[in-house]
Amino acid sequence: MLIDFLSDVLSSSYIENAIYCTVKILEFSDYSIKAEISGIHVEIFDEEIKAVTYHEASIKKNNNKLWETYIIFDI
Amino acid sequence: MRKVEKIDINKLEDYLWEIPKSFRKDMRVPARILASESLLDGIIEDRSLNQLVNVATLPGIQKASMVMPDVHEGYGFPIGGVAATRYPDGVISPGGIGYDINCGVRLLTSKLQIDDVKVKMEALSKEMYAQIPSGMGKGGQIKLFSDEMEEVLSKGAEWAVENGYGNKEDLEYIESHGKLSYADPSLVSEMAKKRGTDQLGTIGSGNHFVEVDYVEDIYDDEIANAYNLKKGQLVVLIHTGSRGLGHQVATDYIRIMMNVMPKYNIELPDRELACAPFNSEEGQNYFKAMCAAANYAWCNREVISWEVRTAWNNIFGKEGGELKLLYDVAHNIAKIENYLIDAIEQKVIVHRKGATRAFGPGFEELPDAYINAGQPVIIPGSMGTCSYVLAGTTKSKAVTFGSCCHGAGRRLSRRAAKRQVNAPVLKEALKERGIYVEAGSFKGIAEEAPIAYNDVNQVVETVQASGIAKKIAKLRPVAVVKG
Repeated sequence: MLIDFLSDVLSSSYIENAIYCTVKILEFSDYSIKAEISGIHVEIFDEEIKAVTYHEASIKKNNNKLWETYIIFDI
Repeated sequence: MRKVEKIDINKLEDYLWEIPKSFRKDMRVPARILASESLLDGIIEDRSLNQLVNVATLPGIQKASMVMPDVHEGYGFPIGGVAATRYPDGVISPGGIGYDINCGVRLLTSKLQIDDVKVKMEALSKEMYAQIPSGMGKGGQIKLFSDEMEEVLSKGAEWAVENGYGNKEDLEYIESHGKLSYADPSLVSEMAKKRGTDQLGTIGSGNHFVEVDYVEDIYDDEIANAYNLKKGQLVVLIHTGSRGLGHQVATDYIRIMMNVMPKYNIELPDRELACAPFNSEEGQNYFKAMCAAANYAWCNREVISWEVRTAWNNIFGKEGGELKLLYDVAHNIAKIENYLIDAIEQKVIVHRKGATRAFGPGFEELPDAYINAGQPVIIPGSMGTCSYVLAGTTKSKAVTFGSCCHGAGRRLSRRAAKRQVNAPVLKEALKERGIYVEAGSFKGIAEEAPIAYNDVNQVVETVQASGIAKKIAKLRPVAVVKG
């Protein structure tokens, strides 16, 4: 779901020509997530990300007891 | 899972290697590698062969999963891979085509000779950079209204021709004439369409480029003549795809297929291989959406050709003559084609991801001028090295499902390249060698530096020696526009 969420954020970035800096989760369940994202419009992107991939995606708790995720972007 | 090692690989013939089905019990067919032994030794280094083994587990896969000599690691599928599945109940997998649907190349030929116009090359590269929107976020000159978008997705390159952005003669010289009739725009999401609204005529970033080359060498006079290639002649190479629209179609359908795999009892070793039976609703929907995205890509390359032609005319005027399309061919696509399998003619769904169709002489779709020569196969090298024009052979149909390599093959990751390359220095060094580079960022130059790639010569020599394509001409770059 995290990957699907990031995919939607990425699509929105390109449609709105914007980069997003904050995210506010409004609803969260097993199968859905609703959030408010905000950011700024940009003229041009520095890097083109084609997609957020599921390739080798993982999520685990690190030594500081924080969740850490590994996600590969196709550029 | 155990990494593939050389001991696991059998030599079938010169330049053809096989990982037998017995390597892993979930393999449905063997996995084959088309490569010279020295390229194979390099290929073993990364995990692309394990990915190839994973592809051999796809339901309905025929004969063997295959990789070309320029293979490297991808997401799920290796890049440089070919997988043919049984029609109509074998699977179709969006990952087997890639995020950049119908990424491909086209080559335009001119009547100019490099020696006559060398002094104008820097001006030409600047003018092309001005005409062709590159880099991300910069929209193109065309903004599509929704009914126009539907037409682009249905008609492909033909839309550009009908709307004054292309030449009618070009259509005959494009794979599938630049239009896949299975396309259904209603199966392309609104999000994808929005991403494509202002991207026609743009090259994007990454390894995409527009390059002016001259013909440095001719290897086969007869076929070069049929392709209208002469030594010293200036040509233009365009490498790009379906842009954000295609990326979105791939993203949308990988997600859909992941969710429906349990329904079809499909279990796979890698999520990026997500697939559905071709004749299922999801399989059909993806195929028709993919065809629409492929049409967008052909339209895009036609519009870019129009921008190149404008720049050409602005610099050379009437003396520049007309830029004619030699050929346009996809290297990320799925097609329904017929092959002899177990001595029976069978229909299959051929996935080509980083592999180019390479049909031999007699293929009925080819324009008359090429019917005895075979289909042109255009192989872009890395920036500042060289590119090749090859011709498909009949052998490719027997060995590689009518496919061939698509480039040099990446050797260093983009990050590693950036660490090793000083882009401003490289730009100057290339300039001293007579290659003018215009790019959106220095970073783009560093990531695509020649050091990041395998030697394209070695890849092409392998393809030639194996007999799946013939070397026709070598191109040397003089001006490059990058995203």
